[in-house]
Amino acid sequence: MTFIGILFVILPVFVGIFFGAPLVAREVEQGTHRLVWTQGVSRKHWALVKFGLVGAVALLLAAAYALGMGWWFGPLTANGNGRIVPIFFDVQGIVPIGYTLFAVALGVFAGTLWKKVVPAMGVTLAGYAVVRVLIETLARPRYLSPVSASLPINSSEQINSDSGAWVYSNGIINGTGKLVMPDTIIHCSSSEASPRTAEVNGGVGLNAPGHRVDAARRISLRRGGDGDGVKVLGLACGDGQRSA
Amino acid sequence: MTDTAIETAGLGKRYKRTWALQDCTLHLPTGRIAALVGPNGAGKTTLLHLAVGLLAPDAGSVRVFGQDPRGNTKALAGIGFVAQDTPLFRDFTAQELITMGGKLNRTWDAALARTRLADLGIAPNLAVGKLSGGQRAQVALALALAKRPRLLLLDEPRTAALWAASSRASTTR
Repeated sequence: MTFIGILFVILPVFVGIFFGAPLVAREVEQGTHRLVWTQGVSRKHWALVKFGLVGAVALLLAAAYALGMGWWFGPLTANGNGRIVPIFFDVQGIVPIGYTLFAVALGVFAGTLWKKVVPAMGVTLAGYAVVRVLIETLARPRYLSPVSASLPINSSEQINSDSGAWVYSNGIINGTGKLVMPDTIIHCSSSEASPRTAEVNGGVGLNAPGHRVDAARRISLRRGGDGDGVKVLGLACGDGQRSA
Repeated sequence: MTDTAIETAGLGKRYKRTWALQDCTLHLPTGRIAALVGPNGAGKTTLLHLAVGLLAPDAGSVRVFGQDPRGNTKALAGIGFVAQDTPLFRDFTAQELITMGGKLNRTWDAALARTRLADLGIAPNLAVGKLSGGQRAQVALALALAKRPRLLLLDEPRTAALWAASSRASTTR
């Protein structure tokens, strides 16, 4: 199942490798460009028809793939992480269609430049991987500055997992706003939290039995992937239990 | 007919730093059969590729019937060209290649190509990759002739010999 999942994520690049890269490269490698480019049809015409046909087939395949994945992932995203998180985001909607067309264009480009099928395929694979990783690690987190939300530890609000927000980080901050525990979520029941501490800390406080911890959770959100709306999360409180 | 088929002036082509062809000036009249002779690497193929617009000159100019052949479909329609090693789409049958030529050219004599191959006993429904080298050369020549070209350029000695020897040489000029 995991294997199938990974296969689906890298599927677009295969379209580029097997459809895009050989388009011009095989023609030149086998010398048939000397046959087809000396007929009564201009190279521009030839290229338009070839690229158009391969592009259209790739577009259809990618659209079918995106719709199928959306259907398959629908129940999973509704009950899990939302569809904005990496990997989930990359296999649904318009994203795989864009990736597929990019991979085909990259393949055609590499094949035109290198003029040999196998090196062009390798360049396509490497180029695609580099661009993909750069977008995911460098570009995407910088499209918008994150939205931070600090909520009282005894708040009855909850993170809405269905809202599709991309949660970047969360942690516990104390009364002065200092991060005391990164990557941590605390639950406390609102009945146990004393109104006194809540007043003292401006609604940021927790009074666990025997201890006094002024804390709130800080949640950083990113705007969803490449353009979905911002969703603000709430937070849940429990009895001082922690879950990472 | 005293027209000029090919005219070059100071024609040159360079691959990286090496000149494959330099300062080539020639005048080829129509109505002739001309042979281009030279040792390996003399630039014969380069000259022919320049004449069919596959290559762009780095120096000088080349004109075919007074026109620049590069990116010029009108000029290319008048040139039948058989490249070295007679490149063909090997998975295609001769019949499919003739159909393809018909779709890629405004003037196309499919019947000529078909009868030519039939006379030579070349199977029209066999992938050309399975034919012998000589038969492939015949298919390539038939495709070039089906354009009913005003100028036939043969960069493959085998096809040139085939054409010169064929009884149709005098009638398909």
